[in-house]
Amino acid sequence: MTAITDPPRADFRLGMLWTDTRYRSLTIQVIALILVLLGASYLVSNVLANLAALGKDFSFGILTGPASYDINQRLIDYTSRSSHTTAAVVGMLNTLLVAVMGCLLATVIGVVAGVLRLSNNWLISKLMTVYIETVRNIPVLIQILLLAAVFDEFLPSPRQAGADAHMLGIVATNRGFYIPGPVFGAGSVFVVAALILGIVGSVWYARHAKRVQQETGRLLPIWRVRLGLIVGLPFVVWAAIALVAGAPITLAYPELQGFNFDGGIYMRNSLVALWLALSIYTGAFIAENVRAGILSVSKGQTEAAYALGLRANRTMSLVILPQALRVIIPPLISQYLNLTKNSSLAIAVGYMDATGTLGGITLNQTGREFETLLLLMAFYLSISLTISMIMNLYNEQVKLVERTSASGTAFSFGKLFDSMTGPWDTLKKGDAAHQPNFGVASWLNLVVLLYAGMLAAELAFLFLADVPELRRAYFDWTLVQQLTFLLLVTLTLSTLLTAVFKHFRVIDLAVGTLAMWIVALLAGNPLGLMIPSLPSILVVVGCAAAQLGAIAYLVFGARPNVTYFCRVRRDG
Amino acid sequence: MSDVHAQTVAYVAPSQIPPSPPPARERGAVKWLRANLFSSISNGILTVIAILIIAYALPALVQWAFVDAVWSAGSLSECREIAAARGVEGAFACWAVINERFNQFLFGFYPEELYWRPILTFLLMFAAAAPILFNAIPRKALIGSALFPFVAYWLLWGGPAAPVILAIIGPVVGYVAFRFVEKAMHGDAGATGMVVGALAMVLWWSFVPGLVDAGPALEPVESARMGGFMLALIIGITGIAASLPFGILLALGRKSDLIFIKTLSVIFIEFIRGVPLITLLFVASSVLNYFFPPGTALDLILRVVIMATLFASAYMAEVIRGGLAALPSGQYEAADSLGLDYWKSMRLIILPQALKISIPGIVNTFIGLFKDTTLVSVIGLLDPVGIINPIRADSNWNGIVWEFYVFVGLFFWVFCFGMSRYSMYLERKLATDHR
Repeated sequence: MTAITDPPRADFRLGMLWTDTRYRSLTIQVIALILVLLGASYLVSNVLANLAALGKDFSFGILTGPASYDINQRLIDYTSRSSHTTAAVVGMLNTLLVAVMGCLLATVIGVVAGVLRLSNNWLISKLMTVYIETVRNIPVLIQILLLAAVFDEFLPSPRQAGADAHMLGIVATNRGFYIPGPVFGAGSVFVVAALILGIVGSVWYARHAKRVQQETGRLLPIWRVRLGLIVGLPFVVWAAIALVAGAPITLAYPELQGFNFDGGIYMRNSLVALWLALSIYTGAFIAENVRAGILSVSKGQTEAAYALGLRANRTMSLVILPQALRVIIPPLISQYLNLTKNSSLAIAVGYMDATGTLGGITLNQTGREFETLLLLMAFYLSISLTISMIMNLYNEQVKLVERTSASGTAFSFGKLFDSMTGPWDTLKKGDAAHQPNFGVASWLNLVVLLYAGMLAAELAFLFLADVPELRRAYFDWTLVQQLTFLLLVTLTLSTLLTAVFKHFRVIDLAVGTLAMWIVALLAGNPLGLMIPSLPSILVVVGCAAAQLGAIAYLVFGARPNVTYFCRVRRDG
Repeated sequence: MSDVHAQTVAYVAPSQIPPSPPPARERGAVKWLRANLFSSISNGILTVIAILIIAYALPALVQWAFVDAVWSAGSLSECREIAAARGVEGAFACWAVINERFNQFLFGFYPEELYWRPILTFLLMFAAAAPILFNAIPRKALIGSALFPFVAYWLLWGGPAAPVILAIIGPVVGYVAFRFVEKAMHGDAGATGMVVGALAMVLWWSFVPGLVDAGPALEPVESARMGGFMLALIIGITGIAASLPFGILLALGRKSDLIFIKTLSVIFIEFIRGVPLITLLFVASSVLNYFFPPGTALDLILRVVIMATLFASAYMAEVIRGGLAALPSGQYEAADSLGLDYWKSMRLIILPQALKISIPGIVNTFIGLFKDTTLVSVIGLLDPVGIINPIRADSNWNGIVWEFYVFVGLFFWVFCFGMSRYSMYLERKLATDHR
């Protein structure tokens, strides 16, 4: 007697599309697809009809026309005769400027306020509570407008300010803030070189100290030496040159010239108001994240570290911080994202960021709402997606590895080279004992620097070098050239990001980038013009060689320490 | 066993010695001060700095805001005269401007003789919210809550009553269509019934209410005249209420097994969350009209409300997705093992629990949206922030800065702080029963 009978072979009927669960999900999706397509086509046809009624079309051509408006806070060359595209780039750089400055200051404010709120000093913790609860519950726009209005109304005019004493060389006037700026004179190149040398040396020294500690258990003084290398070395070089031939780098202080100040760095009131308000506002949120992170590490961890004989500062850096950071950093990054998005409120105080240029004056002058808003949204979206990609990579790195599952079967260049230098997974899962080159992660930083340089050159070439005699604007390229170059930039960016997070797939992306270099060359992209002062052939060959070198390093060199953030439970 | 006994030691106290009081530095205010303010040298320095800051700032603030303040005057110069007559030196708050323009801050340029309408709407809002917030009130009262949006629209914008009444019938039509589908499919309507019902309602709303213009009419008020806190509340509350159903659908879509639906939800949510609200408001002010058939010109407030709803629903979806994820998977499996279909298990088992978990997050989303309503001032709506500029431009009040922002900021602070306390209270109340 057989216990299992074949299920009756039902003939397929049309009704089964709905009643049979095997087909129903497909049916639902097809219906949804049809509905979405119908809705989309309805919207698009409405848009086309409306645009036709107004006699408009959809094209980005107008963006290469002259902008004919001034932007008084800018990082790159721009005149009112530059194109709308250049104006948009100026705005985007301004957005990034205020976002980066804001993130830095907000982190400082947030960490200080978060730690102080946990202080056992009653008065201080209450003061911080008042700051956090006040600022968090008032719309950031009001804070921005208030600061801007206060700067405009209550700061002295440059004339009056000139008579007053400057605080640390900073002059605050109702026209803007003037701060001392560095002036690079002859010989400054040596100071900069000393700085770079100091950074590289300090990375090397950290690696060396770690190896000594791994091998002998002897602790070398790390921070003092690193600080000496990074700060002391350039200072010594600066002082030496200053003694021989006069200071190579000097600070230019703002001086009153007629009705205005001259020299130093000029920041408009709107920029300062936006920067401060965003930092104070976001800082309050970051403070709460920091507090939550510190509270999330149980007191037993501190006590266990003390029981092991660790000193207070090493307990903090080796036990508490790694665990607290795991909790703090994801919400911290999303606060950075919020700050970047909130920086679009610049338009309310007249700071010319991407919203002010592309979504403001360019939109009003050209009357092309669709094109400008699409570009504007794409800009913010790409920032957001990049930041959330960083966050995902980070989360992947720090998540607790409870059970390591079998690695997938997908092809990867990393696996292809596994046969040469041993499997990635040993490194990925292992801990320090498996890795003779524990501190080698630092050398990956050089690869990161390489990719950062390449990305900067590509982006600068893509957007900034909008000089007619040098090359045509991006929108004048052929479609293939545009696409290949965008892909090249994207790939370089992805490689950079994975390298930053010491991700083992970085090699795949590096190979992809190299392939894209070749494809872009074949597609006729003017890659040779990327660094204008060098001959084309040198640029192409140099970049490709650097790319090859990076891949070779990743393949044959010591592997990146991907367990840097991972806590892995070992079997047995 | 100890070796020490009463017999072996020389002296044993015959009675208990009364406890001596703790030393003076270990009790009362002194101990509290030592423990909380001066526990170490660095703490002591911090305390002194904090006391100095407070001693400098607080009296100055009180002096500015209350002691030296001028509460009623016709212009800034009059304010200054009054202050000078009282011998005030230095800065003082001229609250007279708030006093004089108070109605504008509340209602914008709404006709003064019709102020009873927004006020009545505001009061009705509490009556409508009560059955939702408190279970003790009979469930029948929820019908009143459902009617509130229509009544509120009629009261605020005015016009004849018939279209409003016809619009009220819309959901009824949708429900009838839903029941019809349910009957036709033998009680297994699910998504089909909901889609048909929603379509019927939208069709009804788009065609029927415009047909009749009869009934008792309230004096119509244009959107351009609305402003102040009334506008902030209209946008905030409509946005959050309308975004809740969309947010639930998006969250379910994002967790769905249907790859197409999931992709659509993810793209929508990530897109909306990836761009700043201000760009969406630009879409509302300059592009949104293009998406409707030629000839329709939607009201700016309506367009802003549409975009605010889309914006909030993406954030709402993430909050509810968190609630869905926090639910133990045993609940999903239990619902499946009972033989419930997808919509029934969602409606009866999953969503009631998931929504309860997400209530604090929903309140936080509301606080965020309410703070973000200030952004509509950038596209020219006269919300509390937008109304500051015309007043600042008034020659009578030119030169006043702090008072406006302090007043508007205080209003938002009271509202948002209260809401956040309410959300924390809810969190505590709800945390007891699923641990």
